[in-house]
Amino acid sequence: MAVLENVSRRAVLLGMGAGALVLSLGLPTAAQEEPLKFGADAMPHGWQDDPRIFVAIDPDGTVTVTVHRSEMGQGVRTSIAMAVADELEADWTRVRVAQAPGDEPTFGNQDTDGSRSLRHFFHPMRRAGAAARQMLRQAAAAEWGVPVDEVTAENHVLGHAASGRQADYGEMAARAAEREVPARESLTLKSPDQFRYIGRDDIGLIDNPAIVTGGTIYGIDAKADGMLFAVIARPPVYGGRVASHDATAALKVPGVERVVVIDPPPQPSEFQPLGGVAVIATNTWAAMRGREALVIEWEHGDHGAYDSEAFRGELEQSARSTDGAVVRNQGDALTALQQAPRRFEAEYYIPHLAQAPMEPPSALVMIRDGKCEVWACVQAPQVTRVRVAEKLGLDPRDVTVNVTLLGGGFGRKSKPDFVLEAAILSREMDGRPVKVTWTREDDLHHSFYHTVSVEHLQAGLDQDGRPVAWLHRTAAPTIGSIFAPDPMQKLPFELGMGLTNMPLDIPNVRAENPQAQAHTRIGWYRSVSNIPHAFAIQSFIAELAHEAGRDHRDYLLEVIGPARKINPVEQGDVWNYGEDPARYPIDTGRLRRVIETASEAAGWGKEMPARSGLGLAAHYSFVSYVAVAAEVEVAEDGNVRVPVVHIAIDCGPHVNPDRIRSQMEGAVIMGTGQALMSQITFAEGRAQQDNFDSYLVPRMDSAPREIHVHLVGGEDPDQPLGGVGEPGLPPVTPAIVNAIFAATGKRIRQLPVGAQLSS
Amino acid sequence: MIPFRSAMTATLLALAATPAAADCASHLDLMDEVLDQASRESIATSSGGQAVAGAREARAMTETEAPGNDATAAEAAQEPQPPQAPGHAPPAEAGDQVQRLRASLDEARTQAGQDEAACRETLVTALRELVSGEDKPDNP
Repeated sequence: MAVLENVSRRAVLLGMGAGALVLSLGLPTAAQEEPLKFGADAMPHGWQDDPRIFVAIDPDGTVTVTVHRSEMGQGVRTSIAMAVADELEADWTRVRVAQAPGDEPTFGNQDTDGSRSLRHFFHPMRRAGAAARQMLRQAAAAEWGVPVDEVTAENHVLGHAASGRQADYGEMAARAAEREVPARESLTLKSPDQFRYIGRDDIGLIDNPAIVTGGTIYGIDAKADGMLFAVIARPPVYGGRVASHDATAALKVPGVERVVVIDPPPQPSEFQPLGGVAVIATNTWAAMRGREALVIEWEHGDHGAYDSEAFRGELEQSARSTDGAVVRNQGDALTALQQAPRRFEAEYYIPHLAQAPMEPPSALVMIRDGKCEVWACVQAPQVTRVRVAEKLGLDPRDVTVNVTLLGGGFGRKSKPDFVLEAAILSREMDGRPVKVTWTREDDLHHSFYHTVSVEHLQAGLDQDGRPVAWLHRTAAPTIGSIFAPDPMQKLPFELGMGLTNMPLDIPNVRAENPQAQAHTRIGWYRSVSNIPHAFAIQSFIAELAHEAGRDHRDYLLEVIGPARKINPVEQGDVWNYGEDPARYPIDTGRLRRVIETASEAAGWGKEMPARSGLGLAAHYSFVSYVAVAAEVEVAEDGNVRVPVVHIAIDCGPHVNPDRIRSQMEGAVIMGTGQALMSQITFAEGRAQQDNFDSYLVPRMDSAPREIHVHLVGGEDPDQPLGGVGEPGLPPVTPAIVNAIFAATGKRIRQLPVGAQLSS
Repeated sequence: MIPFRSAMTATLLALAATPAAADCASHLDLMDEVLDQASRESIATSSGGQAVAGAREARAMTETEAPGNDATAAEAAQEPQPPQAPGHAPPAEAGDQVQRLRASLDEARTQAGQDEAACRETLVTALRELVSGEDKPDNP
């Protein structure tokens, strides 16, 4: 069995060794009272910055940073370790990371979502490193009998200049471990000019050597002695159940040990398993063959007639109705629309999408002596822990969730339904280890899908073509439908993703949210509602610019208006990504700057070859600012290539520039898929896409050939951090679609482009 | 933290004590202060993560006990939280109600100065709906 590195096991090992600075988990001192909490403070279990939780130094000087956020390719294990190591003054070559298990009371919030890992934990992790450095200095001072102020800590070496004494961190670790943790207020953090790693572009992923040599463990790799393997035939329609089944043939498949019926969840189903019939075998292949041999009759429930094409018609009707909830209302948009010299309207359709992480969901669970151990690729290990405990009737403290690396997540792995399946089956097998494997087909058929949306926009233009009235109706099933009994309106946090906080300088703005019912399992997908909102708004602005006979970039900047700071609350936003609006206003100057950067880098205004075009879009999300300028080539047969993309982001100070670039590159590729090829459709309640032959994502030949990432801003080290994982995505698709219009004169209002240009 | 409805009720009482001659815009200014604070409270109790925001907001919007990271009896049995860890936030303020009331009052603000009676009617209607819960979305 491969050994999975995990802090829960490390603690045992280190406890047997001498001198390690792994201290018993203690509680830091009380923080100041605040009337309202935002950001990390507002998350369940908040944050921790105690070095005894996050930093261990072995006698040989190896520094282990425990990372409590899930690594899914975004590089958080590297970035968190950089922050700790920098303040610790550790030698990067002697730094390693361990993954924290699910345990929020100890580690602070672990939901790896919302583009928050550095935004919420950069400073706590810096403090943890600084405190550990101070403890080492104090230990050295006591050992040497010198004032602590005279002890230096630099690149893993403690020194005292006057006496010439030096010690490696490892030599002083045991003594440091006996020191009290310095008060938070007493810590002196580095100034940016003192940073050793933070802001550097050449650090590289700390996991890279292991990844490229096969030394890492993903959820799908987890193994245990005596492990059984399971696959599950789930109801093909959301809300369905097993009416009857015959497992006779399945049980005859060599290797199949057991067939188990899993009950469907109550509604709303939250993160509960969908139910179905599980086949448990001695290997995955046998389990899959056994599943094929099952004879199952399904009851399809309320959504058996769900047809996404027909539903599009319903959404369009809803988006054209005037009885939606008014969620934003500046000025008098309805009157201004009627009185405007020119009026323009358009409707945009964005289909369901599946997160489709390269590694499908997978979990290994075993139960022994009243305790449960989980190995899984989860974005929310504490939620997993609690839900498994509930399912098994255990105390959460008796459930250990070991977090593996994630082969992509995109929000899918925030939902631990697949872990609960494994827990149910392990219990059925008297606690034996059971690994549940999802195939690609399982993943695409039973996802927590990105919602489907119709965005209806109207604008009234003045004599100069400038918008004086703006009406935006968004009709889409809500994520709230998995949490509550069939809410018909989007939740405020969904509306706060580009609708209620839309920062255009238009005097009369109205946003409405007509009703829409969910007919499948809706979940969050990277960037969430920013995707439809940005696609619609940025396409519409380009359409208005064309209608007005204006250059798109000039028009976009004009509609955004002069640089100013907007309080989102005053516009009607009640989310603001969970951040204090005083600390995180919307800064249109920063939005303008990324637009100017991307467009200038792309050579905006240059002459383009026939059937080539340059498109532009910008969007504010996850408290970061991103603009994209994309070039496209449209062949005579309608095939679209994206030769060059320039993407500019202002996310505040750049902690790990290499990872910011990586996230922007990934966003460009994913956004290209959304623009050109990706969609999930439903017929008779079933997702119609089975694998990557029908759920299309960009391959090498359709991915952008050049992606240029421009990091903007970050000059002010005190500026609060913005998100990075998600904000790159929303402007990519409208930029490509706008480029297609520039190349062909054909306006795409329905995603994906697919074959729309071939006729 | 004062619950939104309680704050609005207090505001209504304050409005009732306002001289009858006060114009609608003056009432709106007072309401704006309450709404700004209520909006900040909604932000604070929603959270920046999709999982928690989704659960908390769905629970608040539908006034149900939707499950979520912060809403489990099992978890409540765990050790007390350290002082600086905020632990379980209270159920979200009904951000959707705040949002809709803001939209209504913005409409009234547009009417203020042009049609005083219309402004007052919009204001009163919005407050009545809020207090009675008439603006809640229909759930089948």
